[in-house]
Amino acid sequence: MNRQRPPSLARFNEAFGKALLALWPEEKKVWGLAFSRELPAIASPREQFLWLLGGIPVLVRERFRSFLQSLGRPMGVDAAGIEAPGRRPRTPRVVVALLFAIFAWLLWQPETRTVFRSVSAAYTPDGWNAARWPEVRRLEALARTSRDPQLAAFASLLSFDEAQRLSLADAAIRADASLAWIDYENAVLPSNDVSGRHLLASDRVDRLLAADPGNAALYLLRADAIASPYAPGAGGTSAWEALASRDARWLAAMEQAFRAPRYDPYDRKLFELSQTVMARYSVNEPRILVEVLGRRPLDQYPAIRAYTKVLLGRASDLERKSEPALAAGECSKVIEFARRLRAGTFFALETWIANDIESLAYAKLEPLYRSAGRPADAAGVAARSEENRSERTRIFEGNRAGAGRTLSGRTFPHWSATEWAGLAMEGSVLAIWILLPASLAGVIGLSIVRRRGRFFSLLAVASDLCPSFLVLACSVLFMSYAPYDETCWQVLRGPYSAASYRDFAAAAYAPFALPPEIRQAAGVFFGPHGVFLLWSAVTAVLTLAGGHLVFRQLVKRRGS
Amino acid sequence: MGLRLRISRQTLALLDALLERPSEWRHGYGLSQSTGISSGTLYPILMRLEKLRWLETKWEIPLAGRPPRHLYRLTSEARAWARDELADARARKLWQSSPAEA
Repeated sequence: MNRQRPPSLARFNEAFGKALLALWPEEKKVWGLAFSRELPAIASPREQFLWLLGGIPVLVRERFRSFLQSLGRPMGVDAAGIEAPGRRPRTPRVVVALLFAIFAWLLWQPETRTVFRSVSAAYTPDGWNAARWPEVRRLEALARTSRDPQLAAFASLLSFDEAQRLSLADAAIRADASLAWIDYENAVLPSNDVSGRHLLASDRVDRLLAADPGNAALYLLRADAIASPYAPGAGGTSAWEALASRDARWLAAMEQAFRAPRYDPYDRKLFELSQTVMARYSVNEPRILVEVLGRRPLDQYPAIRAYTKVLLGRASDLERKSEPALAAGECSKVIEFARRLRAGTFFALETWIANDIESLAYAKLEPLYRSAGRPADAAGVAARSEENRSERTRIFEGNRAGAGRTLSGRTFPHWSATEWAGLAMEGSVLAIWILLPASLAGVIGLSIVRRRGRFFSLLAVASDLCPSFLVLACSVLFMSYAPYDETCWQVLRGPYSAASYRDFAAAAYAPFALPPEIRQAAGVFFGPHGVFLLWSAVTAVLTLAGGHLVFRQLVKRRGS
Repeated sequence: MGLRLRISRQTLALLDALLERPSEWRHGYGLSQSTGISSGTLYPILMRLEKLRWLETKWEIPLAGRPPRHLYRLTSEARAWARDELADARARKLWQSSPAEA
């Protein structure tokens, strides 16, 4: 055999030609074939190569034209069309692509991203948690490297890890002594970890008191640390109260707390710090701030109530000793402290504690004045006691009393605009989580499954309907949250006030402001993870119902 | 034909080549050789003429050991139009006749 192997360039040209042919669009394949079939007629390998090189721009042009033409066809339908019976996709690719682009653009808006992530995070089994929020992790990482004391202070409030929290707080205070108050917050936070006690070491309490000696909140911290060995446990609250009220150090700390000229849990400083850090480091999630500000010193309530009982017990003793003026003085200590609690903050917790201890004091003071022959004072106390009861009713019932409208003799709940918006937001997020995979499955599935059968028809329905509904859901999400986002940022840019904070908290919680009937139903039927389970169930039911309807439609069409 | 298209020099060259022996079927490479048009320019013109139905195409009868090649010639209607176009281009000095025709 004297066969010569073709030169390497000729072998390359052969492979090159085949590769080019394989890339030609199906509907123009005949031209690709016509082009490559010329190759054997070209004698020189170099000429062959040049011929093939000339084919590249032709191929690119034809592929581009084929792509443009394919945009006018639905997914899963090529230039030859579909001959098989059944539901065929109808929406052109370009329309589907446009809908996905609009969806992506809407979802990319900071408002939509924030509310989508926030609501989605809230319905994970762990629930919404600031410590797991990407912005918080970013702030923590930045705080470890930056020298910004305010950032370190703010990051310390969001850290789950006790050691890290205190070390960030120390770093902040070392760099800026005016941030000493941050230690108070570190004893109060994180209240989402109610099982743990976050007592401050005595040197930290001393540092706080040295910086702010007239603050009742700090003496309460000291008392809290002293009473920690008597923490409610086996003996319950009454045993704890009995033990604590026999401890002279605890009594002294509580005495100082009740006598201190003011109660300041540093809400304003906390708000202003958060305002600065959130603006400086572009944190977009307002709920982070609500998490920081909304945590209250709940642990201090038993101590305040216990010391109130101590004072009222002393008043009873003095009354028995016929010292009504001194007895009234003990009651007044409670009432004055309650007044300072109210003045120090506008949060419901302090108002509720103040209301509670006031009611105990009034119950003691009114008969005391009567028996002391001071009917006018007794009447004054009775009037204040009545106000106290009204306030309590308002606290427990909220502002929803009388809400509702009547139609044909039945009363229907009247949901607020925020509750409707919350429902729209949560519904939209749920819809996006259902529709996004359905749309992708429809669009991708059409190009990979056989172009016949029920499954193909189902995918065709999904690819035709889901992208439009996806855009609709995202638009509703954007439009329902955008006004609340605007409110949040207006408050964050403005000065701190009770009204502005309430607006802010209401706006930041709007995505979670489900109507109480729904929230209650979720709690009753589904236990502690009620809302998460409720939405999971709704998702499953809607998916099954949707699938069932689509199949029924298909069966009907096939039958007709 | 009733249509006036913006015709490039390469298209004129191709029409000229196809009109040399109008009833004869021609190969792509042969047309490229006779006109000096590269493959990257030639095929888009061929495809456009075919789309306008001015070009007839067919596959040649397979010969032993060689795959069939694509063949091209102008349709009878297109020949008259091509002659008009070439005459017009010559008159406007946009095109010079090939030496054989001259």
